[in-house]
Amino acid sequence: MTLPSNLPPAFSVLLTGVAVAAQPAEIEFFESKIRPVLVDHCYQCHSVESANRGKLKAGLFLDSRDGVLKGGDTGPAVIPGNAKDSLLIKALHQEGPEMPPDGALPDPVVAHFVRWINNGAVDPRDKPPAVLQESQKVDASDHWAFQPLQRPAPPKVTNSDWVQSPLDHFILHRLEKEDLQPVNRASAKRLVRRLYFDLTGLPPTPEEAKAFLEAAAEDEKAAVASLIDQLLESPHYGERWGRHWLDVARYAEDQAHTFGVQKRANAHQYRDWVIRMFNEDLPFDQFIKLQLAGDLIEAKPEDPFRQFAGLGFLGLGAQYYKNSDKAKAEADELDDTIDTVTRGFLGLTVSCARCHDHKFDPISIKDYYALAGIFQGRRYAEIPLASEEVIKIYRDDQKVIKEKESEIRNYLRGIGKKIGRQQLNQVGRYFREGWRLAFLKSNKIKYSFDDYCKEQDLHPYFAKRIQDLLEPNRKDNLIKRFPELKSWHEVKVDANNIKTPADLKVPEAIASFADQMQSLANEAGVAFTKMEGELKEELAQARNEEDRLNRVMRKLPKEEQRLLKNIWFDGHAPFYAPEKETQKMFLDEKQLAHCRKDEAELEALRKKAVPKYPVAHGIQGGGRAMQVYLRGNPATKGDWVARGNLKLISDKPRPTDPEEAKKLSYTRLNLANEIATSNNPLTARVIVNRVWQWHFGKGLVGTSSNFGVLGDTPTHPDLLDWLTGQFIENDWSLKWLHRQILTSATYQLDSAGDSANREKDPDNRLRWRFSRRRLEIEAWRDTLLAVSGNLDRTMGGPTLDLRKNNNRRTVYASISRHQLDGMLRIFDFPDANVSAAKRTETTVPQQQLFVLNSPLIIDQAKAFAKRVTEANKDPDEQVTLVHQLAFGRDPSTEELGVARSFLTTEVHKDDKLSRWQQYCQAILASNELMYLD
Amino acid sequence: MNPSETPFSAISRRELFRKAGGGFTSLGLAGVLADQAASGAESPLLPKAPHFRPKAKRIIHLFMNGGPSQVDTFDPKPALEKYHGQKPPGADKKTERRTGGLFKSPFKFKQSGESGIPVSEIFPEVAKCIDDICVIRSMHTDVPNHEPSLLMMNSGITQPIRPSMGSWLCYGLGSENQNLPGFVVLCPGKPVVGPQLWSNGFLPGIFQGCHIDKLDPKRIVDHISSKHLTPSTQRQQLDLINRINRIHLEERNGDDQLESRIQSLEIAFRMQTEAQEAFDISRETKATRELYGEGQFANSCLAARRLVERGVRMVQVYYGSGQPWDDHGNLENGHRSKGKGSDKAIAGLLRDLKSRGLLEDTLVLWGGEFGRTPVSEGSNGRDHNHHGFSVWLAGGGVKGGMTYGATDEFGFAAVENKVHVHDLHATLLHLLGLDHEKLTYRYSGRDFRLTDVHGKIVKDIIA
Repeated sequence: MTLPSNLPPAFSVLLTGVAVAAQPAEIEFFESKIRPVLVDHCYQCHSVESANRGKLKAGLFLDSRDGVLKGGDTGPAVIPGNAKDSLLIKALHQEGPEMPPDGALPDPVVAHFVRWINNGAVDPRDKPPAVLQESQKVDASDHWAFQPLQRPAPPKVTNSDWVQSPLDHFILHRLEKEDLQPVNRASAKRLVRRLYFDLTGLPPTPEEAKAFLEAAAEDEKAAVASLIDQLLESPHYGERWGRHWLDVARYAEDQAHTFGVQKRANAHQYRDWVIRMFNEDLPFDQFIKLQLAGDLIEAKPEDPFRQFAGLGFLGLGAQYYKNSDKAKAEADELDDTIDTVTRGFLGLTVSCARCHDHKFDPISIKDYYALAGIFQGRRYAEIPLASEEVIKIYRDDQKVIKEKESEIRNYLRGIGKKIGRQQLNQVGRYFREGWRLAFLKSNKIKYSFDDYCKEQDLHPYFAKRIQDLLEPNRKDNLIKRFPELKSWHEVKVDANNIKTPADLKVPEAIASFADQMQSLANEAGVAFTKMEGELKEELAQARNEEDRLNRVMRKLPKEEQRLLKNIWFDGHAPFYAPEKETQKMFLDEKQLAHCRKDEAELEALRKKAVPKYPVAHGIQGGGRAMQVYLRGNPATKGDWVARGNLKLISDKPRPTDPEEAKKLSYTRLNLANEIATSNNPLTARVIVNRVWQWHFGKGLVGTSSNFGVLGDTPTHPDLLDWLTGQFIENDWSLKWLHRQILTSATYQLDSAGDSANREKDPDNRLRWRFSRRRLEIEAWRDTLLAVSGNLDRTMGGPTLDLRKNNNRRTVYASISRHQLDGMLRIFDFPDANVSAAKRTETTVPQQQLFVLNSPLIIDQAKAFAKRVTEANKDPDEQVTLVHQLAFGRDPSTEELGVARSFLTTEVHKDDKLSRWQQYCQAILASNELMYLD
Repeated sequence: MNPSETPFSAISRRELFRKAGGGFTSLGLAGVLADQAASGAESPLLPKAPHFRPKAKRIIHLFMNGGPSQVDTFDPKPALEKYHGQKPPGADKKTERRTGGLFKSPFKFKQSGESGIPVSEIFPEVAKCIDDICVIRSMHTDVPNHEPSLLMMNSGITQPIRPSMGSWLCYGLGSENQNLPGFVVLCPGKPVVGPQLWSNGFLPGIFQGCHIDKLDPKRIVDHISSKHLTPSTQRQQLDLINRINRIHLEERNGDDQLESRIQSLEIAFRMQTEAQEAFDISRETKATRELYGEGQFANSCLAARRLVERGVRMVQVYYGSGQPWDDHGNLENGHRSKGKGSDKAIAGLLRDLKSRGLLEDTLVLWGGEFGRTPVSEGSNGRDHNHHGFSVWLAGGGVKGGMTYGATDEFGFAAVENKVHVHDLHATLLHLLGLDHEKLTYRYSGRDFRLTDVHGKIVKDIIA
């Protein structure tokens, strides 16, 4: 039975649906030729059974009739009666998706499939051989993080004397409940160090430590409060805490790939902006808004830096290599934005919904593309950080400069053209001599080019150009420009007996070509002059000489135009003299003077001009509804989704009609406003938890960028909500939050261990002590510099290469996504390709090699030794100073003894470090300098 | 690394000490602890148990960067002779550049070994080892450009943001020598793309490949040797640091992380001598050096053997800086000279590993990021080809003397038993005892794999 292949689909379906029983031969064919192949080659990835294993590919089921007809992500697999257009056949023919993945089926088998489909794709499989299991989706509606903020009262505690701040109630309540004893308060010595490092990332100087200890001896509580105030006002606070945020913002200056990547020279503007905003205590909700939509909040702000530089959060995002798969790369860039925004501000892993609905959190693939649409079509841009007036002054200055430059250029071009024109009556001679020169060159005959030109009265510049034109290997070019010289290069001369130019006779044929060129040039020249006369009136309006000649040229007949262009007028023509050469070779005294005057004026203009205003990297525009990318693949598009926020945050209905979806506007500013508000339960909780993490080393929620179902649950949910509520009431002030935390008894606990507590809570989840912490690489390196006396406290500005002996704070280092600085890498600096919630912490020998042998540590050891030995002459006092500078305390008797015996041991003659330098290096290498109590 | 985010549980420090006799160790124990099993300092590089019994313990990847031509090396195609200069259907696939008609191989092939597998004349010595080699002729990848394909071969994705295979292996298996990096990359200069090819991506920095530019023992790892102190003085200084740290530790009643760093300093001190020694090929006998021949690639191959012998998990040896195998023009000269530059060294490596009993559990992978077109580019070159190319494996649980898969009659595209780079990765991990679907790292809220959502193990080549 044969069916026409152009059956309407409805008829085909009907045919396969109903006529099965009536077609035993076709069923037989299916059973013997088709089903076994499907089972062997397709079911592994395209069946209910594979779906239950989580291995279904492309949403396509080939284990039932309905599955085949409905098809997968890209539409029906089979159009009954139409094998040619059926995707299944295309795939088997290895067009589009190449199936099966491990190699094409033999041709006869594919032919069976073609036959089967063309005969109506009769398929007796009513039901798939397995039952599709419901995916095990967690009901997230009662997940703690999605509940509105609670306002719990601080709970009652037994040991109320211990409490210093309301938050202590929450901590102590749990400790008492679990029968844990908080350890003692940290000593004032440890506390001052802790506060300095925590808030500024630098150790206190001995004088600062002393001042605090004296004040604390009077009234410790007041001394701590006043020290906190003082440190929060220090500009170093922003350097320390801004860097915490830069981890989340995946701040870097370049891209991971290599080809055509330009370092973003102004990346530091964003870093400096973050530092300044922390120092100014910009309310955190506004901090969010400026980073997402500063440009949309106010277009002409008084302080453009403040308003726009925060857009670096978006503008310094990942950009990928677009040579191979542009659509995919662009989708990856959008994903970078979505990932950073949602994990960074909301603690949600929305990126997981790029290919399919989130497996655990209530985030759909449509949510993802609703968010993606907000950014779709955005441009990475440099945003001026200056007022319109300043920009205008700059542009005006530049305009004048450009005008002057073009005036000079036109003047010189006019002269160049004139000089070239004067050669037109020499064309024949130059072609003849050009032939000679080209011949001599291509036959590698030695002679003096300059002498020859002088002899023959040729201008060396034009002679060189005509020689180039006539070189044998540029034959095609010559013929293209001068078809009349088609057989120029067919004229052959034996080079054997040619030793000097004089030996070389110009052949007849060449001479006659040259004559021909001369007469053509003559004719064209005459035509040009005539046209000049005719156009006299029009030419009076010409802007300059070049423009005047151009106008004439345009009016000439085609042939004359071609000849003149190729011989005189265009950049490639032999008698063309560009500005630079004209200036060098063809100016008379008067013209030279004119030129010099112009150039002096230009120089003056350049000097007078205001320098370029600063710019920041941000984004511009963007916002276009998107279609869902099925399985994250930009090539397979699904439903249209209107721009909007996650349903979880805002349950406004989104239009489903494509046209309405496209029309609905929802901007970055809308998004920013819906993120930076206490109406959503996540944003404020997320930042409060981060701040807690940055103070204590671990958040109340351990996974600080994932508050979803798979994230950790809070150890103290009530405390988190109480603190968050207060934070919002206090205008989202981070400095308020710091004070709350730092003045608490919880924060001021000692770092000492306690075996009973350790037994019950080894990880200190319930905060019965302060967890000892390793300093981050920035704080550790800055401390080395500070202790040695080398630290340069200059703030802000372009980034610096750490390897180049620079003594600035580490936050100003250049941060690369492509090749991160070696020191930063081995000390666990996060990969800036993605937002980092937390630093990993590894202890590896490569770090210790750095401590033993790196130039940085050797330099600091030398400076430290010099500093200490010059300050004091008494050995014990020197050692005391070492301890005060490095550890903020005096040495013990044992330590004094250790130092004394090391320092008095004899040095080996091959050592390049003195004992003092070796000793200072050991102090810098010590655990006490790297770990904070 | 957040412990909840890793499927591997290294023995915790505390547990280690409990096993080692309880309590916190004094420094006197440092020497005892220095043996490899206990030298942890909670280093993430400590050896970890694989998912199942491995066939191979380590990999040497001979990376022929630039892309060697399959039809001129291990996949001869007589049809090219027949259709030389023509463009029959099937010979017009899209690659990076414009190509002409089919271009017959300028090289002769010889049936080699007992298996009789044909090998190009540019590899006469490798041909003699063919019975230990499994040639996969049906490789394919996604894109005919160097950068994305280099990244695909190294990290399973065409964008430069994911960990490389060597980093994944170190993450999954740790390293058997704590005094050396677990993943070493030998390349004079840098291949195209550069450091991203051995990047740790989101894995901890310790898993990054350690790139060795020049085989200068003094410069192999950053800060590997002291320019200022003699070894004995540095030992004195280290003893001083230990004293200072011990006083600090005792005052704090013990602390795992402080203890870890003390151990780590000791390891670093020893690493200075051991690492330098490992890279010092001048310690090899004359006979061994002659086995590999001369030249930088030969030296790298020899260094690779010294490294895997000492427990390094993966060594990648790039043929050279840039993309040396990228013969868009004058392929005959180009391939001949690179054959000459590597044939003896590769064969020497295989023989040396075999004679030392290392080939059994050392997997050697040879290949480029893609292959080349059977059609010509210009008059005598070949363009990039991602549709089909050859790689080969030897040792480490792979059947020798076999070919697997096939390209079409011109050698343009893989058609039979196709093996994507993801499949190769899955197979390599499998041979090392790792389930590529279970070797995951939780990052940005989801579990990442080397093979992403792909990868099928090529079972037929496993011995």
